[in-house]
Amino acid sequence: MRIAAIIIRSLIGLLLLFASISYFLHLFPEPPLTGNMKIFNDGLKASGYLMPLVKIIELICGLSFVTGKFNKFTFILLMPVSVNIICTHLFLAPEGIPVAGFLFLGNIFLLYSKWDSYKSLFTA
Amino acid sequence: MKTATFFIRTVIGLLLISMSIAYFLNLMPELESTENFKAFHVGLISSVYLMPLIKTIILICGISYLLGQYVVLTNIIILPVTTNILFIDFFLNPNGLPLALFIFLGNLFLFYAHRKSYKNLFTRKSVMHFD
Repeated sequence: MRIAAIIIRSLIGLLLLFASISYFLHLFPEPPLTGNMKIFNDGLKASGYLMPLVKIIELICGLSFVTGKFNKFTFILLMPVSVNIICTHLFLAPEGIPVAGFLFLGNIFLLYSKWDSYKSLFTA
Repeated sequence: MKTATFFIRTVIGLLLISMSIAYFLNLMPELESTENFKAFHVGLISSVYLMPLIKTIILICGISYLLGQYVVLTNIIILPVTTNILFIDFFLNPNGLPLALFIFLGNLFLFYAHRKSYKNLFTRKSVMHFD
């Protein structure tokens, strides 16, 4: 169980680092988007702040996941991002569901692996 | 401190509940807005899931604040929402900035009021090992 948590944590960390670094350094040309996905993406760009914010959070979480520091905090920090990634792919871009599903389920598993530390959050 | 916490919690709870009810019952007037804000709004609607998800979260969190149950957890769940409300109003819709600032700072204040419950998240070792 401990080993599984470390493997999943490292894989997700690398995935997040890859996603954020390739965004900041413009490593890949943007894939052509169609339909609602294009409107959604244009909307996110129009907001100005949202993509940089998400990518900074991904970078912080990626570094934390790979190095294993501040994990209990960054598992929570990543949760809103992974919820939105899985929902975006479920509703708009089904081809990305496997990766998004891995990220989302992995995140839940990692939260579960530290569950004892989160118990104090469930007090009134 | 206790009175301030109670006051802020209740006011934010009422605000959140009214925001979500206004959305679900379509009470909100269409805002006249700038080009970017409109593009952003259209984008959110085209994502299908995002607005209902946000408004459901806001409703649950509002009820939790109003009743004072599970406030520690609710603070965390609502933080991404309040952060985004603040940023949207800051960048795209300055009219709403005072309200957004109040909600965001109120949320931070509630974090501060319950800071003891979050200590576990910043310790190096787990409270109890998993296996």
